[in-house]
Amino acid sequence: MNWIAWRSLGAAGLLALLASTFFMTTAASRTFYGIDHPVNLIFYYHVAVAWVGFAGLLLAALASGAYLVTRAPGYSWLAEACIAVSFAFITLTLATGSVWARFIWNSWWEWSDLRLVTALVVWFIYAAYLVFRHQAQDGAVHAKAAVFSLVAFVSVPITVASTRLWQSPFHGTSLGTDSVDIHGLAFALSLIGTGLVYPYLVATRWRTHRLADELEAIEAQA
Amino acid sequence: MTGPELVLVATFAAIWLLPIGLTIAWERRNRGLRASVERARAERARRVHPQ
Amino acid sequence: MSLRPVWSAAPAIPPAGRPVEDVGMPPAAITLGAVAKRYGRHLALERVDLRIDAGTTVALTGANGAGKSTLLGLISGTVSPSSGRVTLAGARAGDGSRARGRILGVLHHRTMLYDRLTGSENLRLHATVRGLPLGRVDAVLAQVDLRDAAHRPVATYSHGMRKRLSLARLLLHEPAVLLLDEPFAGLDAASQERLAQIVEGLRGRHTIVFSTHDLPRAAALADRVLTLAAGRIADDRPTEVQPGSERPAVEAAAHPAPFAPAPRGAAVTGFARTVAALLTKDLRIESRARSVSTAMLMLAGLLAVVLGMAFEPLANDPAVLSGALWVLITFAALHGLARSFDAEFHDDALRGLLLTGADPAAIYLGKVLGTATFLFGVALASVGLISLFFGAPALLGALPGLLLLIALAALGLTAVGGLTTVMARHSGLGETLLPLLLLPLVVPVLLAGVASVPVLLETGRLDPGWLRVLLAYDVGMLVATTAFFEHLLEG
Repeated sequence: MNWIAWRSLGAAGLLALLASTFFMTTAASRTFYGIDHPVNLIFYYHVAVAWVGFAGLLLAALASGAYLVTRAPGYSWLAEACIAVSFAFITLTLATGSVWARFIWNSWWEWSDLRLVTALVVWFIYAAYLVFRHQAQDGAVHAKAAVFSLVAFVSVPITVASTRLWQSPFHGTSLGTDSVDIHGLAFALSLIGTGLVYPYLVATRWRTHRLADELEAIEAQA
Repeated sequence: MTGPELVLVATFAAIWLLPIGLTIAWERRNRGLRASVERARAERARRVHPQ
Repeated sequence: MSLRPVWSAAPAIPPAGRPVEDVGMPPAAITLGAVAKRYGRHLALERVDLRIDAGTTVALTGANGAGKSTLLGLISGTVSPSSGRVTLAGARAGDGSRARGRILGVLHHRTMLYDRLTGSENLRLHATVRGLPLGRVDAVLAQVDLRDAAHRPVATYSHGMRKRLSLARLLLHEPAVLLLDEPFAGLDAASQERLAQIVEGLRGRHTIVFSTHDLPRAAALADRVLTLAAGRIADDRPTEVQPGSERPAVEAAAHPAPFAPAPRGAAVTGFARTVAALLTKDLRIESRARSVSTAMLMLAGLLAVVLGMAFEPLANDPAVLSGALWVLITFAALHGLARSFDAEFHDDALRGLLLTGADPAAIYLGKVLGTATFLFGVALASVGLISLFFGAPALLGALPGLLLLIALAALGLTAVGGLTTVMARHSGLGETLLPLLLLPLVVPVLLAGVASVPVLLETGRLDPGWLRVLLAYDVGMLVATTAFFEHLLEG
């Protein structure tokens, strides 16, 4: 895929997000759980960004496994790119969730809510990955970072399953409840838009790795 | 604008600024790297085949 | 550090295009085909072609940085070639590091032994991990003239004795090839002479490659002297054959591996044996030095005093008790892990065990179980400390439930902690990085612990939800860390 195609993907994603914003502001209901407030529209971004961000972590784990097997640096770059973008997305998820909670629950953060706490744990784990991965730029760190990413991923399904193991006191299931009336088109567009912007950002970061590698190779020959 | 309204506006702005900000920052860095690669290549070609 | 390089086994049939070797020629033990190694921009070794016949003794000489260590590393497999092939006779394709561990014996600058264990215990550990009869231990101790010192801790050995014990470690499995990296360096004249006599006795029975700066020694001990200069073989000549000292090379060439690998069905018992040997080793070292548990207990005791003072007014709150207890356990774990793995890296002992070709997963699991045992003990002591300094005997009343909780937590903490400790060490980034890597990963354990204790104190039972999480976490992390540990060691 050439570079124009990747950029078109990103542009299409932004357009979809714009369209989603249009529908959510004009047509979507602002009443969730019986409370009418514009902050409820955050839902349309919050859920899409969370889903895509967490899916990206799965991709990163697969890429890390592929790196350990093949030792092709491209997989290591892909894993790092996915985690970097997912990390940004999870940050956004936490921030939007926190703002929403401020208006609806009247509290920025609830320690008793496991969905929140476990999402924060995932954020910390992948922050550690990024710090570690950027400590040094050699193959030894790449392999170790790949192992870390695989071990870290074990915590993701445990986090996701956490809401099934306990009753979550605040954060209910996002979809499929009567008390939330979701504008399907706006949500679908938001999800598509996020799903298109994500690979574009990953590709951009992957390209950074490739260019840096190319530069290093030329300098090594000189 | 009241405090809560400000928070709300800032949040919706942040949602848009994050992907756009990342795009601008990373694309710019890639352009810089691209230029360095070209420079290094030219430098090497000059050294391998001097006039 | 790299332990599993790109390393290929010798093909059974010579590859097409190469001249078929003369029938009368002794078989090659080691073959390097156009091998080059570069470190970044530095070319350490430049397209080396080398064939070493089975049963010969070869000396490598040359200035520092000429490529001697790189060449030995390439043969031993700790250095992966940038290009070219290294082949060892006797290995089948796909055998991997296990075959290398069976064929090779490598003497490094560092002893790769445990200081706190006796010479005999060190060798027994290696023999057990390799699945060899323990009778071999006495035989090799006699061979290197260390029988009298066998029951003294290695810490009391002189430099020369350590060298000889390291050599004994290699001889345990009668490897076809011995690689000795500057065996005489740093030894006094008498020790050098003693070691030289032992090596002399091994000539012909093994293919020996050793590096040295001592040219007369090289000429006296070796059949062939290779001189390296700036990454190339500058000189390659046989030494003068002294009359009467000619060795029947054919005998050596036909030298079979006397200790064949265990049959496939024994893999499970081999795994269990290695785990048990590692666990016993840790318990034995700890029973002597108590360095890991004492350090952890000190830290836990100090924290208990400080937290006990700070939270005195809240001492009856179960949540405060729980929080204090898990702070103690977390700090003890962080400290204990660092201490426990210090022993492994001190003389590269863990690497020595991995070089035996034993299953790295078994070695990791044994190490984790050992460390988890100490952590469990310290966590239990922490319960007592918290009860003491908070004046809250309720904690002791809930002991049965706490035992299970603490055991599960200790296992999860060490499974992840062991991996991250090795990761931090091997990246050369040291202990500063350990909390950063470890703590986020173990937050689920700590959350489960902190949330479970108040419930336990109130109802007398463990919360089934948290218990499930802890179990899922332990199983997931143990499997993942044991499975991926091996990849951590590769370059």
